[in-house]
Amino acid sequence: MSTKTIKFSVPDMHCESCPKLINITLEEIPGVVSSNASLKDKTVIVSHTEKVSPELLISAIEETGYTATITK
Amino acid sequence: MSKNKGKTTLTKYFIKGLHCASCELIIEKKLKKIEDVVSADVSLSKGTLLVVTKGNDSYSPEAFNDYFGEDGYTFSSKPFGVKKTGVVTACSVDSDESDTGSNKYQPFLIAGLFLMGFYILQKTGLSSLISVNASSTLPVFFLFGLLAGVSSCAALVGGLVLSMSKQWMSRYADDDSMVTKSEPHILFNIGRVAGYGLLGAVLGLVGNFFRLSPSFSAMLVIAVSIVMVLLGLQMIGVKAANKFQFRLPKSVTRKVSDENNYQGKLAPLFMGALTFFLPCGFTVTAQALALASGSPLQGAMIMGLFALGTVPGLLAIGLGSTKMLANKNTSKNFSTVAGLLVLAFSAFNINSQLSVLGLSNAGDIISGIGTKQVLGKTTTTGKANFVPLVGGKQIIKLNASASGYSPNRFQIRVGVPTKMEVTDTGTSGCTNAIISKLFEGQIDLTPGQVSIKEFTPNKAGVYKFTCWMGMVSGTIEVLDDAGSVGADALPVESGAKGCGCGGGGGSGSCGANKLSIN
Repeated sequence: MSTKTIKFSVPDMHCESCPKLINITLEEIPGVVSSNASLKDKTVIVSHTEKVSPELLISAIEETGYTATITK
Repeated sequence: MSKNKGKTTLTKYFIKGLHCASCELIIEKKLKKIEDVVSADVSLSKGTLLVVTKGNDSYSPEAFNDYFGEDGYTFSSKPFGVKKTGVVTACSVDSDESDTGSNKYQPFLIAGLFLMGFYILQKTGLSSLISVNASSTLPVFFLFGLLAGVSSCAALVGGLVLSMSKQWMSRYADDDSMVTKSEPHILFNIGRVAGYGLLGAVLGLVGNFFRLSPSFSAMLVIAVSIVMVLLGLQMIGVKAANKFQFRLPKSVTRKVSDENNYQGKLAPLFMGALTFFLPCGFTVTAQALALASGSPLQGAMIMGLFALGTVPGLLAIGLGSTKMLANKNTSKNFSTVAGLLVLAFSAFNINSQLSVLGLSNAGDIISGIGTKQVLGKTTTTGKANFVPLVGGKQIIKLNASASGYSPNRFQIRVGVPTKMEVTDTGTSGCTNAIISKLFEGQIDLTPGQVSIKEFTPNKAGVYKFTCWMGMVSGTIEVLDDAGSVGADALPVESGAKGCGCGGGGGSGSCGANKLSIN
């Protein structure tokens, strides 16, 4: 199955733990191949298979207390 | 210590390096991945971890230390010593250099030195070195600003910068360069100069109705100071203050999040401009003169130059704090020192603004105790010592200088027209006007001249009169015919010590009053 990548902007990341937490949370979701969040530019780049929908990823991020929106 | 309950074991650990809510979630999530861990519960404020594991074995702290190798958390079964787990919020990782006893009190020492320096600066009357009036040329305003930047503005706005430096720092990763990290401070000062210039122009153009009344701005300063007290407590590492997270509500961040983090960048700029409404004595004086200039350009120049003058002082505080917070080992000490300074400055501001509001502040209470005057209704015993009555008018005569009013206690009859003659024997900075609840507006003073204010007191009571910032004050007791100040009198026995503009009115009464003949 081909993997797609999607980029989210997460403005209220505020310290080093935030990217770590987001990566752990997203990588727990079956179908997510990799997640790499960066505090510097406050974005998360996720590569995932077909069956994972962006909404699922956003709600997972929001569960950890951050707001995420898709950016191109 | 683990308590064996049937087939599961509950073990308690202490954690160091926790710095925000995300840390709790990371640890809990990672622990749940271990199959025989039933549950894990981390508490940020207590710095503890409770783990329930199946069977009767439990993990040693060392096992967790390797498991969380690169995450920067350390576990132990014993608490890490009381002060050490001072959780510094806003997520700068808590550097855990070993705190030897003496080292712990070092921050208090440094803060004490700073405050002493600041206090001596005030008492030696540095603040009355330069004084401005309507005729002074523009460069003088720059000098006036320079002076303000190291005295009362340093206390008020500098304290704010100190407390905000933590929040602004946390928006940058550790490896960002100094320049990027000091961006908020530069923006803050640009905002100040631009804001002051703009609002100065409005003052010159539109005049008085735009300026806040002294009591409103006093309340504003008190409100901001309370916020600063909370931030100061956080900086010192008082856990209880953690609950107050000074961050924009989620709804705001969601709204602006699409311009990827635009909202964060310019917040300091607006905050700088808004400090126009947080006037210290000097700022109010400059505002009054910008207003008096009556021309937008002149008003803008006066306020702009004044703000420019305060930039060196404030920038030094801002960049200094950024630098100190950046490198690991000084950041813990520095934030304690900064926290103490922020606390002292806010207490100092609240105290003097209380006096502006006509309430009794620490200075009065202390001097009240000093003269064994029981706080309560001040009924004068025996014959009241009224001011002289000349031509149907009660005459109040006093000298006003940068360090106080003398005499500074008067008793007048209610309902009788009163004429207040104030001879200015060298006021400056923020002591060049007198405000009081007794009369509208203020009495503007110019060195060497006598200023007159006429009013008729229609309600008995104890009224205070002060300089702009409430540093220097005195009392007028308005007595009814029975010689008492009426039921709801404020309990202020006069004796409010003049303590120089910007003088520390906080701890203890500052400086005995010069011979106050009353």
